[in-house]
Amino acid sequence: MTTTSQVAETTDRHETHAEEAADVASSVSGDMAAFERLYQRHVGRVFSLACRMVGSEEAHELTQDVFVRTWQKLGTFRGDAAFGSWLYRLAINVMYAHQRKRLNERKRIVASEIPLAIASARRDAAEIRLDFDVAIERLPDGAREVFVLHDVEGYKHREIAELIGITPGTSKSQLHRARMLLREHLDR
Amino acid sequence: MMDRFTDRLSEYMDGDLSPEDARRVEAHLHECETCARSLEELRGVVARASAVMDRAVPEDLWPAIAARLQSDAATAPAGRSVASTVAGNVVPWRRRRIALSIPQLAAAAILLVALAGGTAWLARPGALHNGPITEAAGGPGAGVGTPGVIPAADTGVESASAAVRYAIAIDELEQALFKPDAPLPPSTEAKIRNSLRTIDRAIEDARRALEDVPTDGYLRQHLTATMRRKVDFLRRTTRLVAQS
Repeated sequence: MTTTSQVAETTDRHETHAEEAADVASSVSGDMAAFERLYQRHVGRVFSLACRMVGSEEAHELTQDVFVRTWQKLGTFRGDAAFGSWLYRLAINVMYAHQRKRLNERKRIVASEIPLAIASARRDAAEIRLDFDVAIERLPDGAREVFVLHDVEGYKHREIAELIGITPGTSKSQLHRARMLLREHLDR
Repeated sequence: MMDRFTDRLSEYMDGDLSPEDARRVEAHLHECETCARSLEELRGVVARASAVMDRAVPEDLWPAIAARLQSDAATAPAGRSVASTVAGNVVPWRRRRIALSIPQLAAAAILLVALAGGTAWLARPGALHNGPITEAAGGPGAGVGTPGVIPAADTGVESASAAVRYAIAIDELEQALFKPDAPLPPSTEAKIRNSLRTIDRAIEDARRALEDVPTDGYLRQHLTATMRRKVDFLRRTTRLVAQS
């Protein structure tokens, strides 16, 4: 049975969707105020994704890059998927391209050599969450991207393979590697 | 201690193993306490991952993003929808930029033939009622004398010059209409200015729509007609004011 709160929630969701669709249409026609509303709605998730994918040091710049790129590509958004889904895929592409460029610029440290040690052993809930985020950032390249995309963002191995140009099998093995590293870290 | 089943635990947990392999792992888990504990820990990692929250953005990044968007004309959204452009009742940020767009240049070039004599031509009765202006920018023979046929856009220096001359002509007509030493009644001036704003909005909408589809003859004709409408309106109003 549908409750009043469910109806209200559904209505809110539809209104939000309609508002977002209107803002997308206005942004496509060059309305920066509408684009700023889209930015406000999605910046938290994009910034979080950037922190986990490339590290918090570079997250500010990458987040800006994502929204500049989004503005440039808005005309190609066809509305087949939700705008958020389209935006996050674009964000992943921007971030992964940045990662590839960075990898070409300097040799990466071998995964097993990266310590997942964290500064604090305090265990209240907020700090555990923070520690977990820090631990994700310190995962080795490859394992980190797959873990974030699969376990945090909810993408399937097939989708991850397409997004970052690896095989589904590699995606599975990197995911397991990441989980095992995090498990050991979280054990402490 | 790791064994050959350890590496299959994630796949087992995610349901990615074949039924046969899954049964083997299950059987092993009943016998191996280490793997059973590892599985529980992996489940804990996945649960934690699904509960992570968005980070608080430590500073407002929008000013920097807006500055980047405005610093580079090439960042305009590509493939903008004509429908949303024409129908959208928005104030585009790019309106603040001082620039002559390609469609504006093209339309001005088309109008240049009519404006060749400057504002003196505009005072000629019926100058703007002689049918469609189609022959200016398309080169020899392009659409000459064919109603509704609009030549291709001319993006060269001549078009830029045409746009400037169109702007000068409009400016001269407005100066003739809104003389500081012979002010119009406030209500009349307000109505005229309101009409001009409406025409300017229509010109802007048409210009932006044509930017998306520069080869669209209908849109170019629409822009030309709208620009001509402004000239016509100013000319007629100036004449009426002079006669009153």
